[in-house]
Amino acid sequence: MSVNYAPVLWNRQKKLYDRLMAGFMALFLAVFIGLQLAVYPNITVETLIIRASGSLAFLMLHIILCIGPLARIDRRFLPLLYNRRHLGVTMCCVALVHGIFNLVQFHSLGNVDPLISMFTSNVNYGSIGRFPFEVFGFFSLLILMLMATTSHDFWLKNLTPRIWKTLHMMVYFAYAMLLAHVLLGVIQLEKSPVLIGLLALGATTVAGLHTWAAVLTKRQDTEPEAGLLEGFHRVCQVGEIAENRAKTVMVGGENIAIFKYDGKLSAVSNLCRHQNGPLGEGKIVDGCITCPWHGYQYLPHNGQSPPPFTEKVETYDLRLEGDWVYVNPKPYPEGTERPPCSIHNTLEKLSKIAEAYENGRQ
Amino acid sequence: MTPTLRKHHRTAWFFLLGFLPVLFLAAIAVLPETKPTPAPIDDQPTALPAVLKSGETKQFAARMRGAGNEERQLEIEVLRPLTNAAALVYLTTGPQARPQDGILLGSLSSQNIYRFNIGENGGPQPIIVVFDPIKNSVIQTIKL
Repeated sequence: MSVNYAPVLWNRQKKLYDRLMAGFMALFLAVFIGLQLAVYPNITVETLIIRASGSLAFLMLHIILCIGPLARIDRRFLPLLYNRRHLGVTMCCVALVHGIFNLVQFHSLGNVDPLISMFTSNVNYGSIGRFPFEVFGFFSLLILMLMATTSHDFWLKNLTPRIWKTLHMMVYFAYAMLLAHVLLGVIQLEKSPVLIGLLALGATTVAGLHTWAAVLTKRQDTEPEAGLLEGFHRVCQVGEIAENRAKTVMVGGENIAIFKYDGKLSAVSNLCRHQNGPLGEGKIVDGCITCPWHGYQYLPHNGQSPPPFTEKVETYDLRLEGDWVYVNPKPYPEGTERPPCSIHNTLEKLSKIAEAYENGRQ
Repeated sequence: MTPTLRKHHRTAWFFLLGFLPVLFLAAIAVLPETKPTPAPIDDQPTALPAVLKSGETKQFAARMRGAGNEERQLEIEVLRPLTNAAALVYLTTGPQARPQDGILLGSLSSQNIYRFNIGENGGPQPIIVVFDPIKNSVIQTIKL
């Protein structure tokens, strides 16, 4: 790894995020351990660690999986997305504690290698009820570790966002395997309706939020039935775009964010160069388009990150006809300056026409 | 997020929405009818009334019980789960406390109380040796 890469770039928000995360984890562990000691007074320290770390990691994974769709459904959840990778890496470490303690407790005291013992001590691979559920946990942990170790921007840059995102989508596979791990493991042993209910509630929440977000975002991916004007597509009215915010449109296969700021309109690619984050869901901060995911910034009129940063996105031409916004989906090369479309000029023009019309009538 | 990536997410959840309910139903369908209980210990004799001698380590508590006559009973309580796959109990009286010099009484497994009738074999200074026959090593020696 290059010396130019800092392990973590800290700022006030990240510190606050991590403190809240640590507080939540401490609270969960205190409550969980207290309950376990009350219900099972003879529980050993090793068993307590295994149960507490497994439960905490599983709960954290649910929270992580809910953050993405929540942020897409309601922008107020975007701050949770900002530092989600810290949450993911921490969750992986907690899961690793669970895995190591299990391996030591149940597989390290025999004559067989612990990893081999895990795969061979129970060979009921043809049975659902007695399936060696630990195998599911092991492979899930492998995926989580792969994701945690590649979570740094170094890997994002070198693997390319496409491969990196594909790799990190394996979290869904890991989640399904972890559900199988719990359903065929602790649920078969404890048979507790409360545990089954909690598990079903968690899975339904995660699946429900993802489905909801998918339905909402599918609308964004549908191209508007736009009127055409010399290569420009009619996409929306000026009033539909809030000040310092954007409207995202799919035109001619291009994902475009049209920003309104200081009485002007500018169009840039909706895809942040960092992780393909949705720039159009961000806002203008200090004159820069700010990505809602990790705060990468671009100037709206040229798609360039302010110095010393070097990221650039494509820009597009806009036209205003009356109150209607038209966009040309042919992209300019990344970082190409395009003059913003002035709303005031158009409005002035419109008011002059209206004025002339009124004078003519008189 | 790109439209392509959003499509991949939708596809992933399309499959998960089909798979997860099946997984839940299958897991619930194969739930065992009874909660597993520790294996019963057969031929466990009832405890003789008097405790004549006792000794304790972190792992085991051992008591020599008697009934007033010459009848003796050795009671071993496994206090913490054994980390050995197999554990045999020997009663010895020799100075070296080697299992091969003693009498094999039986085996230990999960956390429980185990009793072995030893007749008149108690001796004045009995030593109990818990031995792992797989690793061929002594797990613990308890002097009473």
